[in-house]
Amino acid sequence: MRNEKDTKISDEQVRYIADLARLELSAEEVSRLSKELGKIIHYIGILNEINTAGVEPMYSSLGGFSRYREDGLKPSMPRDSLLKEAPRHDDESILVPVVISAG
Amino acid sequence: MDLHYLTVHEIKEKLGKKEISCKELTELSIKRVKKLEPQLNAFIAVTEEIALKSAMAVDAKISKGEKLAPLAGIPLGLKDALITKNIPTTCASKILGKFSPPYNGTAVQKLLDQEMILIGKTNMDEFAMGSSNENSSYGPVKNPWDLERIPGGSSGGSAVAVASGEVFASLGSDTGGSIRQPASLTGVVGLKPTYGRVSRYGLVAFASSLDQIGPFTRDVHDSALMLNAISGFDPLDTTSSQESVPDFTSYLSKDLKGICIGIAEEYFGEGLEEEVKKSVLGAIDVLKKLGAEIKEISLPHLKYAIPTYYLICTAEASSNLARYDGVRYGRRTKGIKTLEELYKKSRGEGFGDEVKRRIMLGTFALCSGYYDAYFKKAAQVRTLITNDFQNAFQDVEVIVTPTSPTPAFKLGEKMEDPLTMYLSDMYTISVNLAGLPGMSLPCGFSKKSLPIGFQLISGRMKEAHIIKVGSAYQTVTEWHKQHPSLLRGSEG
Repeated sequence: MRNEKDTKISDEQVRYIADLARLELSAEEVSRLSKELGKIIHYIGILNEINTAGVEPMYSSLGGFSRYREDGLKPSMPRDSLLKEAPRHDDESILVPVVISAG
Repeated sequence: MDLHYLTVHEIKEKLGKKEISCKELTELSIKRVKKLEPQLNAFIAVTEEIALKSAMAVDAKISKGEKLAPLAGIPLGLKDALITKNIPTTCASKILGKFSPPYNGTAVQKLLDQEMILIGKTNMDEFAMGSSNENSSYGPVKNPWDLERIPGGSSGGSAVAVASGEVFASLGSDTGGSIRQPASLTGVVGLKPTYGRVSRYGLVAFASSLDQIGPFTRDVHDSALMLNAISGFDPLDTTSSQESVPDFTSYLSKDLKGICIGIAEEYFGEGLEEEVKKSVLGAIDVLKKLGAEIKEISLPHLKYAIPTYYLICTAEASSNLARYDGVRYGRRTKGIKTLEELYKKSRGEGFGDEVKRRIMLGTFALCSGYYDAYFKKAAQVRTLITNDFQNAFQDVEVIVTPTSPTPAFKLGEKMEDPLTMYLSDMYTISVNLAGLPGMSLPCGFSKKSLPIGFQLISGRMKEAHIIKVGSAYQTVTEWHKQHPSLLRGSEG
């Protein structure tokens, strides 16, 4: 039984979130995470003590400024040096399982 | 004479006067690493061959009388979250396998351009997620002051490598305290620069709006030397600042006349261990004697920093870590028929427990239906926390706080309860949320002879104030000159 002070996160919710995150979890991990996430999310609820109506959200300490570098041509990294890191590749591509089947 | 525990500026002098060659120094460092590693586990990889080659190049320059860069010839450790060209970079995660990057990160390149000697890549919590260095797939790092205790995290290996005399300086990264907390727990100086001061290009991203690279050193003088070397605008990191970089060593001071220091009672309340409090208050007394004026300030939203942080950092992490999919580099689960299954299995097998927990929490916070209640709410509270600091810095140059609420805890002590583990960052996290610089430096020992540190925080781009206060403190204290006695019998 969960502590009643915990926010309840069901196993089904955990599996749904894991699917969004493309993460395979074992049955044991699902049940552990439902307890742990419930506890953490309950704790995070302390933020509801603060009235944030009208407060601007902050996503960076730089104050939302954005800079672009000048567009220009320059050599990129050699293809070989990148391809060699792929778990499966041929001379010019990274290989993955078939995405669209023929026919 | 015990060379291992000299500072960078002391060793530099010895190299300059040819009292020791760079090769001898490098061999000394490698020998010590080999001797201590079975106990400490601070390194994931030792780059002996590269180190000796670079050392001989430095010696050749010295013998020709060529001018050397300020950090040339100094043995260095790099957290394994920093990208190093053709040297495996693992982030202490199975999912990166033996990933051998085709480039150097900017901060790394700057130190190598100065001809620092790379001794190896240091151990860490997987993807920099943790406060104890127990979340490494290469095993935990041990605290040299007590081998049954954790060194702090996530940059535990970089802290221990400096604290135990394996290297003279190292780089770590700090997203919520990952430089300052391990520095405090191992008795060294750890600096997290202002967000934007140091380019993050080539730092494996955890939470992009919070991450920053910074140095571990034995004193504040060395910290200024390292900060000089790694700071500055980089076209490859759009968040790096174009603000000019001063010579930080010009702020090294002996007195603090005219400096106003803020103390906030919120940092000395519940959760703070009595002996830590006593040491930090002792440090404040020293600063007062050096001429600083002490002023009470208030940071009322401090207690909301941890929940705010754990929503923002996990949300950003869940997005950043989406790139580890088993396709382009790292580890891929074999024998898979569909692409989606390949992603899920490779990630499920490649990530450790804490990383999964954070990806899950972050994905939850960004889910439609929860976004406003969690992620946006946290971003709003982040504004309030930042405003608190801005108000405080109207009146004071530096704020003094404890770095960690307790000295180093025992291995395994907090692993079963993630929430308790998260609380060990209660004093460091708000600094990242506000993008400010912060430094931890030694200020005492517990009854069990474990190091205690205090934290100096200043306004954006005002690292100079921290250097000034920290260096003045170290002219009249000896805490930073204490070294772990466990290892004293093992010189060589």
